[in-house]
Amino acid sequence: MVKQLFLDTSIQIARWLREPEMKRCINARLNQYDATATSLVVRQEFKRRLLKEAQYLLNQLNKRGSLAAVQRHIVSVLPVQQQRKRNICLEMLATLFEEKDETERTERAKRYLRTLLRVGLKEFDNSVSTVIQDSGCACARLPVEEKVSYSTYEFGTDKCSVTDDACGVADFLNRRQPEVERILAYLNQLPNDKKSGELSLAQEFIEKLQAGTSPAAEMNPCLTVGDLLIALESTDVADFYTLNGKESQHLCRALGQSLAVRPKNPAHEDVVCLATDNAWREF
Amino acid sequence: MNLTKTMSKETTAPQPSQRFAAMLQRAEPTEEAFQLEGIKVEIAEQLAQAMARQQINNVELARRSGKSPAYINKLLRGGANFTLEALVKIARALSYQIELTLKAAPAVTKLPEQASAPRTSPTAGSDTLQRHLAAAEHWAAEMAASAQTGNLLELSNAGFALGATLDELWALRGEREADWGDLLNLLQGALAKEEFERYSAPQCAAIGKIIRDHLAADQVELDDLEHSIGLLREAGLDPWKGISGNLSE
Repeated sequence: MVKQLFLDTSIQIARWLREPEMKRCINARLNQYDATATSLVVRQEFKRRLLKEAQYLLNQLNKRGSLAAVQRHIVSVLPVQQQRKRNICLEMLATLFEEKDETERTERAKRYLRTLLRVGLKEFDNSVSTVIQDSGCACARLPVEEKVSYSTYEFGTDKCSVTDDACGVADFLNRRQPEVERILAYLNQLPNDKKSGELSLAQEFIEKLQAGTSPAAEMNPCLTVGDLLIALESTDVADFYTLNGKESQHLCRALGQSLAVRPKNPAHEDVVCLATDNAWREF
Repeated sequence: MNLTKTMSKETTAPQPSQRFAAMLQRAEPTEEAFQLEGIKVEIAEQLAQAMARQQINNVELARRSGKSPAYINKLLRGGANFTLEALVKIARALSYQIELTLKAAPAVTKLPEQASAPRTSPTAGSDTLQRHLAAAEHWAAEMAASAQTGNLLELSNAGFALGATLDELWALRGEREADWGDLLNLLQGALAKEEFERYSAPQCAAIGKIIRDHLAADQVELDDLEHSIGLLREAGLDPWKGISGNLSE
C-alpha cells in the first residue's frame, strides 16, 4: 500500500519561501512517504496568498523603486492583524545578493517575482505526486496570465459565485455528505473557547448548507471556508501535514486522520499525532 | 569549387542539430564566409557526436589533444579558426581521421534578403557574451569532471570561476531578452552561498545542462525557465533560494 502524505497550504508555501533549514525539515518528513498529495483548494490558496502577494510586491517595487523602501513600507504599513501577509512579503523580499547595490537587488527581486508569477502554478503541480481534483474548484483552475512584463498579471476570480456553472464545490460537498456530517457533529460538541474563527465559519457554512438557505457557490466556499474544503479533499489520505495545528487538530480528528505539525522553529521536531492515539496535545 | 570534408567513420553527414543550425544563422552573408561557417559547423557537429559516442567531455578532449579547453569549447561552438594540423590532432585524439574532398560548386543564387541578413541573431548577444557563455559551459564541465573524480579543491575553484563568469554575463544582460536575464538570475540565485565542495556530479551536470541547453539558446523562453527550474529541483538545488526567508539571519 502506498504511504501518502497530504500537504496543506502552509506547507506548500513554506516549501517555496522558508529558510533552507525549514525546507530541509519539511523534506525530511516528505522523504518518509512514497507519495505526496495536495488539492485544488490548496492550489487556489497558494495562488491567492503567495502569487497575489508577488503581484503586490511587484506593484510596490515599481512604485517605490527600491527593495529597501518596500521592506520599510511593509513593516510600517501592514498592520499586525495581517501578520501572515507581512511574513509572506518579507520572506519573498529576502535576498541572497546583499553585497550588491540597491538597484541590482531591486532588479533581481523583480525578476524573481516575475518568474514566480509565470511558473508558480505549474511548479505547484510538479511539486507533489498528485493534486486531488475532487472539489472541482473552478477558481483554482484559472491560470495566472502575464499582461505586462514585471507589472500586470491576471489571476481570475477568487469568488465561486462568479464562476457560473464551472464551480464543482456544491457537487463535491454532496458527495462528501457523510464526512461533512462528521465534521459538524465534532464542531457541535467542541466548546466555544476551543473553536477558532475559521472553525466557527465552517460550522456556520455547513449549517446554512444543510438548511438549504444558501447555495454553496454563493457563499464563496474556497474563499471563506478553505480549511473545511481542504480537510474534505484530504479525506482519502491517512496523514495530514501542516504548520498550523489550530484548525487541523480538530478537522483531522473528526475525519480520523493522523496529523503531523511542523513547528515554526526549524530547530524543533515535527509533532506527530496518530489517529489511533487516545489524546492529542493542543495546538 | 566547394570544399567538403568527412570523417572516415561517418557514412552519412548528420542533419545539423538545432544548436548548430543556430550557428549557421549567424554566418556572414558572403558566399565564402557562408561556406567557411558551414565547414566549422559541420566539424563541430561531427566532433560533438563523436564525443557523445565515446562519452568524453570538452576537458577530456582538450587533455587528449593537447589543446586548451577554451579552444575546444570555441571549436565546438563553431567559432574557432582551426588549422588543419590542429584538426588532425583533435581527430586523432578521438581515434578518427580527416577526409577532405574537393567538389565542383553548384551555382548559387543568393536571395536579396540573405545579403542583408544581420550578422548575429538579434537575441544571441555579442561575441563577448558568447565567449562568456562558452566559458560558463566550460566551468560547469570542469565542476562535473572534478565532482566525478572527487577532486574537491578543483570542484570549488571551478564553482567560483563559474560564479564569476555568470557575473560577467549578468553585466551583459542588456544585450539579451528579459527571459534570458530572468533565467540567469534564477541560476545565480540557486548557486549563491553554496559550498561547491558539496556538489555531486549529477548536480554539476544539471548546471551544465541548464547553461548549455537553455542559457546558451539563441532565444530563451518560458519553457527554458520551466525546464531549468525542474532540473534544479531534481538535482536537489533550490530554485527559489533567492526569495526564501531569513537568509541573512
